Amino acid sequence: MVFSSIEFLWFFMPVVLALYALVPPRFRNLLLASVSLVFYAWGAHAIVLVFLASIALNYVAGRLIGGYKRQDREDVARRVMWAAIVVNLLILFTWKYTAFAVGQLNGLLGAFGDGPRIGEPSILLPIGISFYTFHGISYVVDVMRSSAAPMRKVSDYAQYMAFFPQLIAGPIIRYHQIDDQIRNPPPRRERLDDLAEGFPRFALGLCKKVLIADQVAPIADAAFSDPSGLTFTGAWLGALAFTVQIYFDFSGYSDMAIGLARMFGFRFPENFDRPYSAVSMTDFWRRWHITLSRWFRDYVYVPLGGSRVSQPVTVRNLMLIFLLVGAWHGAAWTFVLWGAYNGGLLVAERLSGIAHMPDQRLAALRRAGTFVLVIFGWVIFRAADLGEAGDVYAAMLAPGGEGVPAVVEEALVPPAVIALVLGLASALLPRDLVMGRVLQGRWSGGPLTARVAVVALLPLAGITVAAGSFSPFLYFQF
Amino acid sequence: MIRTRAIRTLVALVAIGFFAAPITARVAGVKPEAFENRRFAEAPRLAQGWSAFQQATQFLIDRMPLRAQAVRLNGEIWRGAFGTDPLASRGRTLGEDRALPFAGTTEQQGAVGAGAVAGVDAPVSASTGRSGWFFLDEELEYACDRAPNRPILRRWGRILGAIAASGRPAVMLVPPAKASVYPEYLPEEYPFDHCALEAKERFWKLLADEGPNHRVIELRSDLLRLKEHAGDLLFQRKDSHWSTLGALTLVKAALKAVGDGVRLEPDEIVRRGSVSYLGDLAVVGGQGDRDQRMEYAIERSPGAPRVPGRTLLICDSFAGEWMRLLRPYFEDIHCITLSAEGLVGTMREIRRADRVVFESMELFWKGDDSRELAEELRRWPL
Repeated sequence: MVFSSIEFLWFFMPVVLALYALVPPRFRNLLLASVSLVFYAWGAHAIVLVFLASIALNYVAGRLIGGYKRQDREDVARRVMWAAIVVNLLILFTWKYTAFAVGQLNGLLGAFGDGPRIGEPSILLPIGISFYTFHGISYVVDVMRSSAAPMRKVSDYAQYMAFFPQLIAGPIIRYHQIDDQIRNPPPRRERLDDLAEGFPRFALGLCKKVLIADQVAPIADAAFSDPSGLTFTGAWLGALAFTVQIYFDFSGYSDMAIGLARMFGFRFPENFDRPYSAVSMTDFWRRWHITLSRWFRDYVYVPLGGSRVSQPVTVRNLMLIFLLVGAWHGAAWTFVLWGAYNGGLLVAERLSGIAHMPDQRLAALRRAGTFVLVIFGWVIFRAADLGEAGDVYAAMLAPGGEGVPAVVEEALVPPAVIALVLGLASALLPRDLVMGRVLQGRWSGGPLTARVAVVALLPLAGITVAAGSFSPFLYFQF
Repeated sequence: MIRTRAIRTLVALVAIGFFAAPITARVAGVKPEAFENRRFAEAPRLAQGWSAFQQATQFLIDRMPLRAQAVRLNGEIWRGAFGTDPLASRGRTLGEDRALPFAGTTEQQGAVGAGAVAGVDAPVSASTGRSGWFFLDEELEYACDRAPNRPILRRWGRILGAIAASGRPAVMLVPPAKASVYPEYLPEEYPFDHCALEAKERFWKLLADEGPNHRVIELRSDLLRLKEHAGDLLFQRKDSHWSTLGALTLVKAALKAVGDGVRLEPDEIVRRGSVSYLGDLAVVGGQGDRDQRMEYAIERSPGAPRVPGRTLLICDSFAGEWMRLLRPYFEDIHCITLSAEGLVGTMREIRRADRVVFESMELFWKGDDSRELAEELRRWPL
């Protein structure tokens, strides 16, 4: 089940909201954990059992770690933490990277002649596994560090792991950021206010996803469907379309998650902060998928020594982190290379001093330059393989050519073009204008107008979602 | 403070209204419409196991009040504001477009492809032509993208020859798709306009020249001749199918090929008058407006001769929807589809039949069916 679907918006949500209105605060977490597991099972089917195993594993590990720490048996607690981390990563590796690893191994075997091959398993990446694995690790590490106490009730812990707004596409909530909120549900009298606070943010996310991202997606799909036939214009149109699509899609999901969580009394951390207004790649990574960067910072970068070590070690750490960030996004060399590209740029900025330059200095030029670097990065990210990425780059770097390929031209329907232009124009807005923040402002003036505007757009998004389910049947196919 | 509270309450009510609108409408008596040319999905059953979730999704979607209105409104917005059909708004799903590759894949997506649901075909699209005609885009796309025809024709010849050699008269009838007969109503620009009509001409010429040698009869020539003097349309303007008058060419051709002397006489064709219909292409375009078509019927005397024995028609909807025109001429005729019966079922039916008529509309003239059937006949001769 995804947020921009009929079953979620008009069946799941009204039922959950009605149940939430009925249950007293002390049962909130039990209710939300239960409905979240239904939400997960709806799309993941039997994989929900893997998820339940992960919840059980981390819950038990957290209880054990907490118990050993109370007995001052830090070393045993640490061993339990490491064991839990290893099992979490094994689960992630099994489902996410096995097929890729086997493919690489077969490639290596092939290099030595027609020897035996390992059968490549057909494994689909279970929804949400990249996120809940990180939640599980965050939990055991935070309990080990005493940043937060372990959960006593299974339902409370299951609520942390499974809460449906963040289950599919984040944000990644570090345990210590939310444990108090889970333990202390707001009183009933605040529920209507929470609903009013969260709903405009949810509406913003749905509009971003449905009215912008989904509209420009066919342009990107068309351009990347046959990169070898791309012209200069076609390649740039495809790259720009994907640049708009990925931001509005991902940040739209985050907006919806933040809004939904608020409707149930939770305050989630922000995940985006106008990333396309960044003045450097270092700045970009402070603004893009913030919760992922902070997760890696807290649980990998800082333990490795962070920036308080020698320059070469810092460079090594940065590159390592970004290779991991790349691999986290998907099991393919394109993602690893995308991570290396970003890590390399951050290292270059660090060594050249650009990373520490005041934001105002040459701001317009640096914004434009950073935007172009980001676009080039998305090409590797979007391409199916390195060869395709090379084809797109070749077309982007060879001005001229013959117009736009027919397949891209067909995708340039008016709504797609309008969405593309609006999406790109949004990158030009002032850096401090962040809609998410505006929607959390006071209930008058500009913030109120912004709320009214996004809620007014919502019916259009709703109609688009409903129309997206249109699945007619032609007689001759009977 | 009081104003702020009032505004917040209003926004909260709008939120509840948004999420609860369809359920509220249902309670208020608004019923869901079956507006997609198919039955509503059945209720999920526990016996379906995990697939029950997928079934439940389609069950709920089909029964959502106001969805038909939303689809039509969406179509009107697109056509009114952008002058185009709302094709790009067809549901995109998570991860499908690599925007969020880390989000994962739902079992539904993995099982049947994004956007597809059990019992429902993949989205198709239609172009609006001149004078209110609609055309199926796939018809034009497929014309350009067709597999080489001659090997398929020869393969069908071998299949039909093998059936005939077993003592069962056999023929393949090939009805044309709409644009093959009424290209003048295509829009000025349409998908694959650079190649579609030329490719179609090559296809029909091959079938006209060489088809009869292989027991394959194309029906387009008959339709073009009929079009010259018929006062009524041979295809329905807003539907992918031919009209009753067009379908009568199939009856004539079938009788001529396997009719044992039974013929369709002109005085047996009765013009009934104009009837209203909802065309499948209008539905595909997200429009619910009905159109008129001229209806014909067959009236024969009870003692008129009929083709004896069991006649098997392996067909698509170009014959399947007009069985009422064929039945008066055959003692026992029934229509099966290869996809529904499967190879084994189809072979069983062929063995039980006294004569076999294949009907395959131009769009379905593909290599796959013939290849599989030829292989099956080679392994299990009749």
